[in-house]
Amino acid sequence: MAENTYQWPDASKRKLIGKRMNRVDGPVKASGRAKYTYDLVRPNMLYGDSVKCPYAHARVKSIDTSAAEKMPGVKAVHVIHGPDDGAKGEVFWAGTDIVAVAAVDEPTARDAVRAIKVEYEQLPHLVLNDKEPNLAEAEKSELYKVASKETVGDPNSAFQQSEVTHEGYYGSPVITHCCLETHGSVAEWPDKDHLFLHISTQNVPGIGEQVAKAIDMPASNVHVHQDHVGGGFGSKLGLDPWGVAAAQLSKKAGGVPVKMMLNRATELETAGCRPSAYARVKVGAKKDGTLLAWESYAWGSGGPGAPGSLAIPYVWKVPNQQKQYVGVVNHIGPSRAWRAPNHPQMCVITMGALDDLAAKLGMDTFDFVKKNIDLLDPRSKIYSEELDVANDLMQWKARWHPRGDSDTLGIPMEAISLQIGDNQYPPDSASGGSSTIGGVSSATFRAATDAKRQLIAKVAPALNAQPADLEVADGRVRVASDASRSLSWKEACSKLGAQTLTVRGTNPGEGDLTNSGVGGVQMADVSVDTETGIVKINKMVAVQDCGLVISPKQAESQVLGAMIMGVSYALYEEKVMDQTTGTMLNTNMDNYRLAGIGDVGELVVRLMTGPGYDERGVIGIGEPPTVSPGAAISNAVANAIGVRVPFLPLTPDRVLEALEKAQGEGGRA
Amino acid sequence: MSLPPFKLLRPRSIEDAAGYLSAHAPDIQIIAGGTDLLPSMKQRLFTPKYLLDIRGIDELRTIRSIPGHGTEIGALVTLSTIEDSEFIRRSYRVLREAVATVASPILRNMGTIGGNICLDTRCLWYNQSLTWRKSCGFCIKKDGDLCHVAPGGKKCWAAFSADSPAALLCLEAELEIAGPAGKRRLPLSEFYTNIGDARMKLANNEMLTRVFLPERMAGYDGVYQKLRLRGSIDYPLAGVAAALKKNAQGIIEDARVAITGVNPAPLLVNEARHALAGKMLNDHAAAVVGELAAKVAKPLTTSLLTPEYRREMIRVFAKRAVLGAGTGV
Repeated sequence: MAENTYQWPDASKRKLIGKRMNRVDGPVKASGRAKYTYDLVRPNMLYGDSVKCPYAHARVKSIDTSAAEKMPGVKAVHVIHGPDDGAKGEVFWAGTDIVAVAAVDEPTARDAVRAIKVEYEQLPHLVLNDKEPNLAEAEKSELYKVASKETVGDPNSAFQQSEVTHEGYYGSPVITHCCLETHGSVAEWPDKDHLFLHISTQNVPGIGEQVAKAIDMPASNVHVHQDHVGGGFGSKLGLDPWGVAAAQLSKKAGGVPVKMMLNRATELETAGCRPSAYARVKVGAKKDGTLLAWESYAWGSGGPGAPGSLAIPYVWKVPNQQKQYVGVVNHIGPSRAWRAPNHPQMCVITMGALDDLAAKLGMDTFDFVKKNIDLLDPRSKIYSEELDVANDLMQWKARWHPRGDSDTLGIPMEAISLQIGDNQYPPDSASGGSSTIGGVSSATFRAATDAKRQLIAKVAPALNAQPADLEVADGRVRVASDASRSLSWKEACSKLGAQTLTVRGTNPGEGDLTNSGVGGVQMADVSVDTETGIVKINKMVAVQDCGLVISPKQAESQVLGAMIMGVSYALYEEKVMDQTTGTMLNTNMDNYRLAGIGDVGELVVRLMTGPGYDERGVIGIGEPPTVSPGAAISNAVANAIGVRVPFLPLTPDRVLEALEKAQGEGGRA
Repeated sequence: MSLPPFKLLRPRSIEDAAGYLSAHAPDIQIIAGGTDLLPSMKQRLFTPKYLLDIRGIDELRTIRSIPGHGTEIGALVTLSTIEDSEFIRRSYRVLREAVATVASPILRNMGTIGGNICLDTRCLWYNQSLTWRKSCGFCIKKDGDLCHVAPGGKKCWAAFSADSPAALLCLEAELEIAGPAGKRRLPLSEFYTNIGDARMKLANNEMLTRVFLPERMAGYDGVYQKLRLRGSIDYPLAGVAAALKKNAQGIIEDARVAITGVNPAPLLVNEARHALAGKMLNDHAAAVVGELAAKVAKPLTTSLLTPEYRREMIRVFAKRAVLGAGTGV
């Protein structure tokens, strides 16, 4: 049975796949014994710090580092962003690194930073973006870029045919990365040609080449090492200016290690932003719930550069669409991939609008989705099955009530909502884009299959059999038809003699082992205190497809983590900017809030497995479950209080404002 | 961010501590739990030459009942000790309720009642790194002369952000303060200045040593209501404590209401006492107190929630606290 193709074993033959296994690195991480880049102290290590631009938009006119260079204990000074760098020294967000220094200890590095004189020319900044841009002005302004206009079908006549239409605002703000381990590295040069880099990264395979390119050296001369990474979520795939600076500083200092790690405040200010996405959406349907038309005017921040775009309506193939997107050039901070880039934002807009439409139709959103399930092609069947599973876990049908079906103020109102999500990514070599499990397990599986085949070929003579007659099972290599003729794994391996087997597995490769594009359904059960506007998560259910589940415990952990992140961005997270100074106001974790264990409620995860799912092979799960929580929670709040809170995060003042507005308009819809 | 350098002094008695304070003031600061001070030192809000670690003064670690007088709580008693004290829960419930909402369990294990009373006022423009504050031109409270919260103003509006003092005000607590001339007593209601920067009447050569809860206030029913975005951990964005005593007929004999988290000091809502005394507790009476409390509240944009919202929450929470205190909820 020496197979020539690679194939995941049938359910009946799986030994470890699908079993609840503990993380191998769980104990060292939970006990604090795991050492991260942040923990590293190398012999003779220097400490890096940097001068940061205090302005949201400015031009570096001149830099004087002479005083710092003369200070005792200062070993290297390196200009990152001088008057001639970039567009004539232009800086696009507050906190941009300008000059880096390395010194014998942190206080000396800090003193050196203070001794550096940088002259700036301040330029006008834009740091707010939740206001709908006026299109006529946008077309004239350099700050607004009309990025896309698209028409599908015949939206005009579709809206005319629509018996019920709804129009509303939806969106989410710029939020920022906040990894448990901040960004940074320790760089050293063992000799003048070789760089040894400890770096907090998601991209051990690729980061060396990026550094090499940045400082013009052969990639093969960069040795990258990392034992553990304290979170990345997309923000640690690429190289940062401070990463390059650490290497440059070390070189200037004669090769001794230089540590450059961001602190919490700089992490929040500069480690990367999830772009905002806002939209005014109009949707139309027939009275029976048949979804006919979508119109959206959307805008969002793409940071200082590319305007980006939004693929809305998200997942839904609405037959008639009219769409426009305006990219807002602003000075809030650099856009960066954030766990399922753009998907949560698109989901919030799409499912918010459809949920409001369902409410206006007097339909349970569950029924509305089922009614239009064909528009979710090609995953209609998956979503449909997941909806039924989620219904069981949440007791949806038994508990659902029409929107705002309670008019007593001051009593926490409870509501449930559902949400569908989707994710689709190309494979990648780094640990990001939810490609790790698909890439790693497929490659490992191919390697293991090859190794097994080669081992069998070696030991077949010892068992007096043909390789094709052998199998590996229960820790033994045995003759398939006669289990008494066998060798233990150790005995078999000893037949290899001095010649060890080295097998390299790759992905992509032969065989249909992996896939992409998954479907998920999430439901949220919330309470809203209508006198204070405070939203409390009671329970969330996530039903997720990720193909063949290799390790259920870890896959479920990924979903749980995503839901917790979802609660944070739905209720708390926003990069709050001060309009006057252009700086971020909430640069600490008192005010940049993340959910604690007391805030997330009961989280229930169900992975779709078995026939129809397993044969798709392994699919990444890191990102998909992050897509839906914002929309699910927003819809649940709308259901509870009877009115939409347009923009995330659902802070209590916004909830009350929405309630008051609805009451001012003559009661709740 | 690392701590600035300092010399650590570790006295074993109040007298030694007072000696150190006299010798090194104003270049000295007291550390007990450190939960407030250390993050602020990292941000260079404080860079004292000396840190006076008073944790070795064992006599300040106890809760002691003095029959006929009341109860004495040492400044070093941790918030979790008070939270877990059955005696405090029974006799001074409002304090237990307030203390239990401070930060998170881990921080309550470190944080002390003395530290909570002396907690620094907080503001979006103040609790930031040195680099950040410098980029915004500093502010009145630290290193500067302008206010970002009340442009043109000369007064600091940083908000008092501790929970327990609102409860202690309801209990008419007194403080014992040790200084070069020995000990003095001061009602808590006279301790705070309602100015964000010079927030309390404690000279830099003095230290808070004990809190006294008078016996006459024992047995009041009490509730603390706190506006917090997260259930798990947050400073109060608004807080209301209410303590009251009813007679057998359900008539309120005496009541106190105090607010925190909105003004530069925790404040008693003086009129609430008269509004409630002699009344039956009902929604109307509670609503009246809500209005009175909202009138005392003067929040500014020291946090990310709007001042209007925080004042409104003082109204809501005062109403709820009074109702809760009256029904044992």
